[in-house]
Amino acid sequence: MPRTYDLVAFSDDGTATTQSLDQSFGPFGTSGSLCTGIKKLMQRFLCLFFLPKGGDIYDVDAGCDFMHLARKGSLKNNFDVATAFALSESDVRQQLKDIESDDDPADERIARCSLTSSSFSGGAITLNIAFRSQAGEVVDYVLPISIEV
Amino acid sequence: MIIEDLTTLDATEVQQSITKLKAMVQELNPNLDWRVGPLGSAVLQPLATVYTAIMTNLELWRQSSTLYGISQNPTLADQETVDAVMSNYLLSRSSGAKSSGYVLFVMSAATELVVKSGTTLSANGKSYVVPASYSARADVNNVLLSTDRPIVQLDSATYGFFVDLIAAEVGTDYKLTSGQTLTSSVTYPTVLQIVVVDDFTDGEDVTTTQKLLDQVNLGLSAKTLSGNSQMMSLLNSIYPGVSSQTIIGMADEELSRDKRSLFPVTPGGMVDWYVRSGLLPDTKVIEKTAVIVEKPSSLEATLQFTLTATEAPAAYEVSRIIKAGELNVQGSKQITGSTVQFDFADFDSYPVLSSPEEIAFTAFQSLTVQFEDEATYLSELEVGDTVTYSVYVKIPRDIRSMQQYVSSANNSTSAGDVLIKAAIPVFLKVSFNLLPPAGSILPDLDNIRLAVASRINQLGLGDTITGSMILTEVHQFLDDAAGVDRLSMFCRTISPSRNEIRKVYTDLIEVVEDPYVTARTSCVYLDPQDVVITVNGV
Repeated sequence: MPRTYDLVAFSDDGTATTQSLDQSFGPFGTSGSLCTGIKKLMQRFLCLFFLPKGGDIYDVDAGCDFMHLARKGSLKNNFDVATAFALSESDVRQQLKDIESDDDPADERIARCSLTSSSFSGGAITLNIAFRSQAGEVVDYVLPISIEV
Repeated sequence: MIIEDLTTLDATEVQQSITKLKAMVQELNPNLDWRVGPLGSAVLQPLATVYTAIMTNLELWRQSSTLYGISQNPTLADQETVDAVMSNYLLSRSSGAKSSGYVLFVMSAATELVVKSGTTLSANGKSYVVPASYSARADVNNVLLSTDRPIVQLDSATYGFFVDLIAAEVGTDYKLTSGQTLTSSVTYPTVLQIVVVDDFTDGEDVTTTQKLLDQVNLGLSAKTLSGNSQMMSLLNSIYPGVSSQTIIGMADEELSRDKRSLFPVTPGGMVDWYVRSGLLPDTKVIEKTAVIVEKPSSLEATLQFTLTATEAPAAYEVSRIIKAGELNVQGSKQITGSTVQFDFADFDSYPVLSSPEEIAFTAFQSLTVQFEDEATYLSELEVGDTVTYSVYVKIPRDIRSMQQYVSSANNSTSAGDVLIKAAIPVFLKVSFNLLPPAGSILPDLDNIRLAVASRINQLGLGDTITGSMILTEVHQFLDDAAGVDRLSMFCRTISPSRNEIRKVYTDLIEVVEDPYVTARTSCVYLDPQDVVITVNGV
C-alpha cells in the first residue's frame, strides 16, 4: 500500500527547532503542506482531542470531554488537568483504533499519548505531551489551550 | 419544506454521504487520507453536509413535482412546488380567512364607554380582536360615525351595544356561535357580560396539501352539469365551502321524484344533489311577527309564523324563540311543531316537486312554526293579534344560491332537472368522562371540545363515525396514564318529513331507519358547545 497523506493543520509537530505557541489551521508558511506517518497520526489525534464530544451533530460520539472541562473552568490545577487528559486520551485513542485499517503502517497507528507536564499562565493552560506510535517513534508536542479561569 | 438549516439534516444520511463521498474522492485521489483529520474533518465533512442538504432538497423537489410523489408524502412535500404542480390542474391553495361577527356588551347601566381598537376578547381559548374603536352612545342623536354604537335597553335592568369582532388568526376553529360568552382583556365596570348574538362567519383554514390532492380529480373535470365528477367539480369551483356532496340520480332508491311514472320504470333526467355546505349550519336571528292562533287562557297563547324561502332558505330548524328585544333572556318559548310548504318565489324554473318531503331542506321550502307563549303581554290580545319575536334559525349555507345557479337558463341542463338539497342533518351531542391520573394537570377542556367537533365536522356524507374516532382526538390532550369512559353519542336526526329521531350510541353511529334518510343523504354536525366533558364524574 502506498502511503496516504493529509493536510497539515497544526503547525507545531515537535520536530521544528522553534515551537509556535499558536494553534491554528493552515498556519502561515505551511498552508497546503502535506504530512504522513506519525505527523498525520498526531493531526488526527488532535482533531478528535479538540472536538468536544457532541460537537459534531452528525456523529455525537466523536471527540472527548477535555475541551468541555476546559471551557467550563473545571481545570483548576495540574491534578485536574492530568485526570481530564487521561480520560480524554483513552477515549480518543479508542476512536483512532476504531478507524484504523489493516493496511495502515505502524507509524500511523497510535500506541499512547501521555501528558509530560502542564502549566497555567493567565487564561491559558499549556500541555506538554509525548505522542508514541506503534513503530516506537515518539514526538513531543506543546499544546497551549485557552481556558475559563 | 426546503431544508435551509443544516442542523435539521438526518445524521445517518450525513454519515452515508461522508462514506459515499469518501469512496469517490479516494478513488480519484488514492494518496490522500480522508478519514478523521484535517482533510476528513475540515474538508470532507462540511462538503458531505452540504451535499446531503442538496440531495435532500432535490429529493423533496422530486417528490413535490409529481402527483404520485406528493401523495406519497403530502406533509413533507415543498409547498411552493406543490402549488406550482396544482396550478396545472386549475387548483390553488387558499391562505385561509378569519372568522368575524359582532358581540353584544351587556351593561348594568347606560354608561357611555369606548372599546378601543385592538382590545382582545377570548372564548374557547381563542383570541378575537376589536378592529376599530367603538363608542357606546347613550343618546341616539350622538350616533354620527359608523363606529358610534347606540346603547339600547335590553330589559328592565340591563342595557347593551354591539361591537364588531374579528378572529386573531385564520381558521375554522375560531367560529363563535350565538349564546357563547367572551372575556375581555380590559375591565369595564358596568359591563356584565359579552355575548355572541349571531353566529360568526365560518372562517377558513389554510388549504393543506392533502386537501389539494383530494381535489385533483375535481380540478381536472370539466365544470358542467353532466357526469357526477363534473357536477361536483362545478359546485366546488363556485362554492369552495362545500366539503362533501353526493348526487342521487336515476335508479337510486333515495330519489322519489322520478318514481311516479304510470309504468314501473324511472324516466331519468332528475337529480337530487345533497351537499354539506359548511362545517356547521349558520344560526341567524330573524325578527318575525307571529299570529295568535289559539288562546286557552288570558296569559297563554299558541302562536304561529312562517319563514319564507327567501328569509330562511332550506332551514333545518328553529332552535329558539324569544320576545323581540329581550336579547338577555335565557331559554326559549316552547316550540310545538313545524310544517313545510312550497315556496317558488323568485325562481323562473324549478324541479318537479310534489311532497313536503321532497322540498325539505331545499331552496323551495318555507317553514311554518307553531309555539306556545305564556306572558302578561298576552293578556290584552285576542286570536288574530300579532306579537314580534326574535327567531333563531339554523340555516345551511348557500343552498338558495346554488339552486339559482343550477336552475338559471344559462347553466341548467336541458335534459333534466337538478334539485339542490342540504344534507339531512344529524345533530350530535357527545359526552364522556375524563379520568386523569392523580395529581396531573388537567388539559384545556375547550381545546378538547374544539378538536372533537373539528374532527366530526370535517367528515362528509356517508362517512362512518365511531366512538374510537372521538377517543383518539381526546387522548391527544391526555397523559398516557389518563383514561376516558362513559362515552355517549346522542344523535338527533331531523328527517325530511320533519320527524325528529333521537338515538344514543356508544360505539358506532348508525343511520336511522327512515325512508328518507340514508348514509348518502345525511351528515353529522357537532357544535363544540355540544361536547360535554366531566372529570372524574363531576
